[in-house]
Formats: sequence, C-alpha cells, structure tokens
Amino acid sequence: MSQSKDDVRDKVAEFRRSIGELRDEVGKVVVGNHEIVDGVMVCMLAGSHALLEGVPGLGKTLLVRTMADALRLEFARIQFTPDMMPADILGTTMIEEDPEGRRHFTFRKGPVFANIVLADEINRATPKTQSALLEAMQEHRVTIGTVTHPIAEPFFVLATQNPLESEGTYPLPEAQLDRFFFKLRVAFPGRSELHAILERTTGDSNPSARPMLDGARIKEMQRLVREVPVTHQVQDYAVRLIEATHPHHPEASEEVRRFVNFGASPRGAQALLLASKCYALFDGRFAPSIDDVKKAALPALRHRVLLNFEGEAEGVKTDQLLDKVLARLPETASEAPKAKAARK
Amino acid sequence: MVQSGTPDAREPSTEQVLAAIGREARRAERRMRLSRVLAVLPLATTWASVLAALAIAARKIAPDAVTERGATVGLALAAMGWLLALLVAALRRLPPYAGALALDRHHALSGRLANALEFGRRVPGERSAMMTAAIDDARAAVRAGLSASRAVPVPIPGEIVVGLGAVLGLGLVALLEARRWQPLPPPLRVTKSADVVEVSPDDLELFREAMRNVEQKDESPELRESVDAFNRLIEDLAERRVSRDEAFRRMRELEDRLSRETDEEREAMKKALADLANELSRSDLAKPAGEALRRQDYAGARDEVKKLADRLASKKKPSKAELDRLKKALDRASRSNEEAQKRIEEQRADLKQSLLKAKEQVEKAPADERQKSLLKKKERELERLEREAKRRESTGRRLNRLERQLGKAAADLLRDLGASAEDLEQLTEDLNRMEQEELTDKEKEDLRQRIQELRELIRQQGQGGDKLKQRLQRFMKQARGGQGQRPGQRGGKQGKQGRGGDGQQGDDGDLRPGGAEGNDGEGDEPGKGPGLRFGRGGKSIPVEVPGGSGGQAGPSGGEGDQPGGSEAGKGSAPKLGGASDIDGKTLDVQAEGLDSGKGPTNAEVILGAADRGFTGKAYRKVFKQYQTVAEDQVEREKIPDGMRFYVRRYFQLIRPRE
Repeated sequence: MSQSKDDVRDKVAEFRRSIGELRDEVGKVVVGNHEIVDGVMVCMLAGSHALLEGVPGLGKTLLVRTMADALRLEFARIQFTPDMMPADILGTTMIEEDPEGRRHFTFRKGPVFANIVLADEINRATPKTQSALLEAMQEHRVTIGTVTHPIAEPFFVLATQNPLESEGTYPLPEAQLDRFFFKLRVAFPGRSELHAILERTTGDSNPSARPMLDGARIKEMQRLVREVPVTHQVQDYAVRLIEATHPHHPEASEEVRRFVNFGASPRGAQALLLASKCYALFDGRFAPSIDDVKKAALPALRHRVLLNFEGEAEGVKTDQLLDKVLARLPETASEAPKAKAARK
Repeated sequence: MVQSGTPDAREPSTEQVLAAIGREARRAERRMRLSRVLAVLPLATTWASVLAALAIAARKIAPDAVTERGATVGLALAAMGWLLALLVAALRRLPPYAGALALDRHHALSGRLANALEFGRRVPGERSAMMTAAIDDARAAVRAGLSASRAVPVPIPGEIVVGLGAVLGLGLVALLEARRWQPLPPPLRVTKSADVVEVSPDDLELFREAMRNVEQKDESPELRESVDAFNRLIEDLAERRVSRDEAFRRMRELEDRLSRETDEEREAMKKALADLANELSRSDLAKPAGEALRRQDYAGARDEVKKLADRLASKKKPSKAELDRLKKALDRASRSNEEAQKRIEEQRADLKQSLLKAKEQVEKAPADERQKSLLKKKERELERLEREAKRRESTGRRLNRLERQLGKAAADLLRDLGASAEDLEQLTEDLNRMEQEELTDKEKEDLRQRIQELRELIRQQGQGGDKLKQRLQRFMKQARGGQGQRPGQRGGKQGKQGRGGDGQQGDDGDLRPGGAEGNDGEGDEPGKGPGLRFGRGGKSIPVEVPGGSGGQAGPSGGEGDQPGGSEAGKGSAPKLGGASDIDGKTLDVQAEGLDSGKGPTNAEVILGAADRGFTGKAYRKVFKQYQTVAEDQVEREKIPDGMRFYVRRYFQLIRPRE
C-alpha cells in the first residue's frame, strides 16, 4: 500500500492522540503508575502479554480492569488457585443433547477466549494449569483434542503475581515467563498518589473509564507499530544488549559472568525493538532511538535473565544487574567500553 | 512507493537537511578526535619525555657506551612514539554516526539526527514513507540550530601538567652537564701573541669608502687584486683578527708590490719610450714627437703626431729625403722594443746555457768557493734578466699597438701619403689610450697613500699606548658632535691638542660657536699650538697655520711659505724661535665666507652639523671650503708627515656623512 509521508504523519498523530485519550481515561481510575499503564499499552500494541508483579493492594487488578473498561473489548478474569485445572481456563468438551435427542460432544470455550484475559495471581495455579496458557499466549489459539480453536484478535493476557507469598505458589516456568512481553513491577505509590487514591476510593464518587478504543482500532495501531522503521545502529544496540546478558559471551561483564545462569532469549530482542517502536510513536517520532531501547530494557529483560544459584544466594536483583549492563554497554559497536568509561 | 509532499519553497529540501546534519556531525567528530588527542597527549608526552631523557642521560653519563648515533636513535624513537600515539588517537575510526549521536544527545533530539542520516543513506526509492517522515522530523532540529562545539566540548585534561613537567624534566636533563673524570691533555705551550690592532669604525669606514672610489675609477685586474688585498686587511682589522705585526707585514707586502710594479713598470716604460724616442729623433719630422714621448708627455706627443699627420695630408709636403728618413725612423721605432726584447732573450739563453754547464761541472767535481759564488752570481743575473724580460713583455703589450701603428705608417709613407697620415691619426688614439693607462698609475698611487695612512694610524696608536687611544676616542666622539655635551658647555674648552717641537701635547685654541668672538688659541706653550678662529658672523675665517716648527725644516730649509724638501729635515732652523718663543713663523690665511645676509653663519652650520652627526648640504659646502684651505697649506708648508697626518685625520673625522 503506497502512502505519503503526510499520511504517515497523520497516522502517527492519530496514534498519539488515541494513546493520550486512553491514558487519560485510565488515569481517571488508576492513580499514578504511568509507566505501568504505558507498559501495558505497549504490550497490547505489540500484540503480546504482560506480567504485573507487586504486593497485594497496589491496584494491579484494578489497572487491568480499568484498561479493559477503556477498551471496547471482551474481557475475562481468571482467578488462579492451586486446584484450578487447565480446562477451567481453556474450556471443555461437553456432551450435549440436541432437540432430536441425539447426543454429541460440544466444545464450551473457557475464559481464555476473550480479548483481554486477566490471569490474577497466576503463580497460585499449578504448573500444569499455567502451561495451559502457553499455546494460547504464543499462538493465539487453543487445541483441544484434535481440534484447534483460534482466539479472536486482539488478544492479550495480563497476569498478576505476588512476589511475597511463596507458600502455596508455583513460580512460573522459564518458558512461560518468556512468553510475557513485559514484566512490570508495580511500585508502592508515593504520598501524593496515596492521597489521591484515598480521595477517590473513600468518597461517594465512583469513577469509571469509558471505552475509547475498539478492536479494529487497536489492530490498526498494532500495524502502525510494525511499520515503524528501525535503524541498524538501534537494532545493533538491542542485539548487543541481549548478548551482554549472556554469561558466556566475550563482552559480558564480570557480574553477568558471575551471577547469571541464562541470558535473555531472542524474544527479548524482539520485545526490545517492538517496545522501542511503541515508545517512539508515543513520543510522536517516526523511528526509535537507543534511548527507547534502554527504556524498554528493564521490563523486557528482567524476567528473561535467570540468575544462578550464586546470584540468588547473594540476593542479586536482576534490575540492578541490568542497570550495570546498560551502563557499561557502549551505544555504538566500535566504541570500546574503556574508552566510553574514560570519556564519561 | 513513497510519495513526497510538495516542498515549501522556503523549506530546505531533504537532501539539504541531510547535508546540513552531515556537516555538523563531521564537525562534532573532528572535535571528538581532538578530544582523543588531548586525552592521549599527557601520557604520550610523559613517556616520550622519559625515553628521550633516558637517551640523553645515557649519552651524557656513558658516552663510550652510548654513541651519538644511538642517542639520536633513542630520541627519534621517542619522538616517533609520541607522534604515533597522537596519530592513532586522531585517526582511529570513530563509531558510525558518533557525531550525530553526540548532537542528538546534547540537543535532546532522541536520535532524530542519527536516524535521519542513516535513512538518508538509502536511495530515495528505497525509503519508506515513515523513513522520509523521520528525515523531515530532523528538519526542525536543523532549523533550530545545531552546535557541535557545545555538543562535543574539548576538555583540557588535568594530566597535561604531568606531561609538561616531564617535558621540563627533559629540558633540565638536556641542560645538565655530566661531569666525568678525564685525563687532561698535556698543557699547551702558550706563546705570547702580539697585540691585536684596534681601528675605530670611523677609520675603517673611511678606508672602505676610499677603496670603493678607487674601484670605481679603475677596473684593471692588477689594481683590483691589490684593492682586494687591502680590503681583506681592512675587514680583518674590523674583526680584530690581525696583530700589529701581521698588519704591518701585510701592508709592507702590499706596498712593496705596488711600488715594485709601479716603479719597475715605469722604469721599463721609460726605457722603452727612450729607445723609441731615439729612433724617432733620427728624423727631423718625428723628432718633436719623439722628445715628447721621452718625457712621457703623451698629450704633447699626440699633438706633435697630429701636426705631422696634418703636414703629410697638406699640400706642402716634406721633401723625399725627409720622408725617407721619417720612414726609416718609424720603421726602426716600430721594431725598437722587439729588438730589445730579442737581445734580452738571447742574453737569457746564453746565460742559461752557461749556467747549466756550470751546474754540471759542480755536480761532476767538487767546486771551490769561487766557482760556487760565480754560479750564484749567474743565477742572480738570470733572475734579473727574467724579470727584465717580463717587464719588457709587459711594456711590449702596452706599446704593441703603438708600434704596429708606427710600422704601418712607415709602410704606407712612401706609397700613399694620405694613408700614412691616417695611420698617424690612429697613432694619436693609441697615445690617448696610453694616457688613460697612466691614470691607473694614479689610482695605484692613491692606494699606496691609503696604505701609508693606515700604517701611520696603527703606528701612532702603538706609540701613544692606551692613553693616546682613549684621547683619540674622546676626540672622535667630540668630532662626531654633541655627545654628552650640554648646550651651555659648548663654548667651553673642547679639548687639547697642541704640539711642541718634540711631540709634547699642547692645547688647542678655544672653539667658540656662532656669534661669539673667538680668541686666539693658546697652548700650554705659547706660540706653538695651531688654532682655529671663527670670526663674527662668519665674515672671515682666519686660520693660523704654523709656518714651520722648530726642528722640522727640510733639507732645503725654506721658511714660512718657502717650499720645503720632500723629507723631514734634521736640526732646527736658526731663524726660528726656540720651543717657548712666541714669535714663531706663522702664516695667516684669510678665507672669506659668503655674506649673503641670509642663512646661518659658518659656525652655526658647523655646530648644527656636529649635532646631527655631520650631515647636511650646508655643512658639506663649508667643509669643502675649510678642507681645501687646509690641504693647500699642508701641502705648501714644510710639515712633518706625522703632523700632516693629524690634520688630514681631523678632516677625515669631521667629513660630511650622508
């Protein structure tokens, strides 16, 4: 499809306006957490899924619900419990009797067949149940027996988990984690935000979000994200960043060699680039920069870099490790780390 | 396919935007390279200085172990290492779009410039709409203005102090003198060298100027050689490279050569002309010309030959007998020098032969003293003849054309009187030429004169010692005028320079400038000091010149204005007074100044010129008047050479300068 640069300008402007409206609408209900909101929007526009991690009561579920309210999409919530079975998520085949009295098997779709799925406290479910989401999240379809059922687009899963409670929880397997585009850490609100939360939630008013975007518009925006060009230098930075998280890579830092068991997967690089494109569009730019990649680095890689036993034992935080990697990594390929350090 | 929108006429095109970004990015990259060089500079300078200092120190401390070449190689390696480090720092490849990224970072453009440059590298057909939009997005940044200097500051590293310190250390090492034990060479035998002659710049300039004049007047190679030798001597004196003895020796050699050349040549010429005159005198017609030639009166000879040519060309021709005699006289005259030369050659050949025989005899048998003496006598005789032959040859060259012309005239005489008259006319031109050659002798004489002056100058210095030297220097300072004098002191005593009969120093007369009536000079010993008196308003300039001083009269003993002998006499003239006799013979010379009633007086002119260092047209005129009178009197009076020297020297020192 041929289009002029003016068309592109208009599209980007429209994209920016839509994002702004969505952000404002969510902001009516959710106080603060702008980065989390932006992260969720990035995941949605990238056509992927987000994992929100935070202590109870920080508004994770509220945020997802508000997001679902602001989007004119089908929303489903699954409260994960240890006794939950895969069929509870995917759906099940039931024997149904037709008016003529003949019985046949009919597939009853589970909650995963919605556009937005809130997998609340996903780490409470058993790995078996958690794995039930794998195919749906990766391929946007569900196979039951010999029949494959596609999931309607747009589809994205917003999962939450509580990092404090370890008893009765099942940490997500690496393969499962890798399927989440971003892992967003919901931080404790600041004083002013806390005041705002109290004012909104203890009064008689009940703010709610109006639906702003429908599925078609979201798909259109997703296409625009894919159209954003990336320069070689930015892409190269993303690749080198992924490489730098691998302990056996020649340019890996001493900390990475010592504390990391597995580095980020290629899905991490994809996440970095797609997210940087989204951030560029959020800013009204037509191409991402290295700073956009840096901005996406923590949410995109923190759940993909797996610490070894020593790292766990030393209490190393993945975010701190990634910060160091980002600080050491030169922006351009031929620049040696020492030279950059000297210049700084 | 990308469809570009219609560009605004005022807006720069995409390519222009890219070019502007590229330009500024390259500038930023250049600054990055400079920063790199500055970052490397302290370390490179320190190491290079240390290496160089080690090389120098090793050479100084152990010169036997480290050769000059080894030290040079060490220094060269240090310099090359330093240069290489800087070059690598400057030329090492920068990351792609480093300049653009730096600009992006500084101007908070979120990679817009770097992205635009990379998308701009693609051919326009391959650019997507989004890429074109990204390039256009950078346009605003370009319009706002990019600053490479602010984006990439070039910091001076603090470590540069260490580098400078190292360079300073290197300098100190280079300056330090490493002392080491070394056996002293045997002491030299010091011979006392003669005193170096000091000649004042004024005198040197005077001699240089005189030589320039001589060179301008005559360009003959012989004279030029002598002038060059004299100039070399003057320059050596100026550089104080010659001792008194050496100066005297060189002057003597130069003078001898000039004297020998002049005297011997003159003698030879005289002899040759006498021979020629003798031959010409045999004819009545050529006799007057011959006599004039005998006297070396070329002008007279020319006139006589002219007369003879006119007579031959006129209607009243001489008789045949006269013509015949003339022909014979001319013919013989044309061969006279040649025959003389032939005779000398024959004598030389005979003498050589006999000399060889004598030598053979001496070699065969031991000779007694008489034979040896005879042999030496013959050798001396041969040398004399060789010298004479040389002189004859030289004279022959000068007379060659004259003789040829005489021969031609003789040949034409009986055949065609008109042609002979023409030959004689040509002869007058040859005589003219010879007269010109005579001028060269004058220049030689002038050169001799200068040598004598220089010798006298050095001699006087030697006699007077340091005291006289200081007095002369003071005199020269005063002669240049105005040095160290306050205006109010001008009327005072200028200096003392009198003379007694035996060389005692007396006082000069007072010198009183413009308008003040001067007094007669009074020396310590009355009547002996020559004085200069300047009249009121420059009307008259009486100059007192000693008519003769005691003990200085020449052999011919003239008094007053009587001409004296050529040499200084001995004893004292009885008519003259004693050393303290105020009634000494003096001669008053009156030189009338021009009284136009306008302009400054002569005294004012002199005083003004002295203040300015003897310059100015008026001073030149006044100087000429005074010098003429002084020279005239010095030549006329019987004054010892030493005293003449002082008078001339005084005028030389106050000569006009431009």
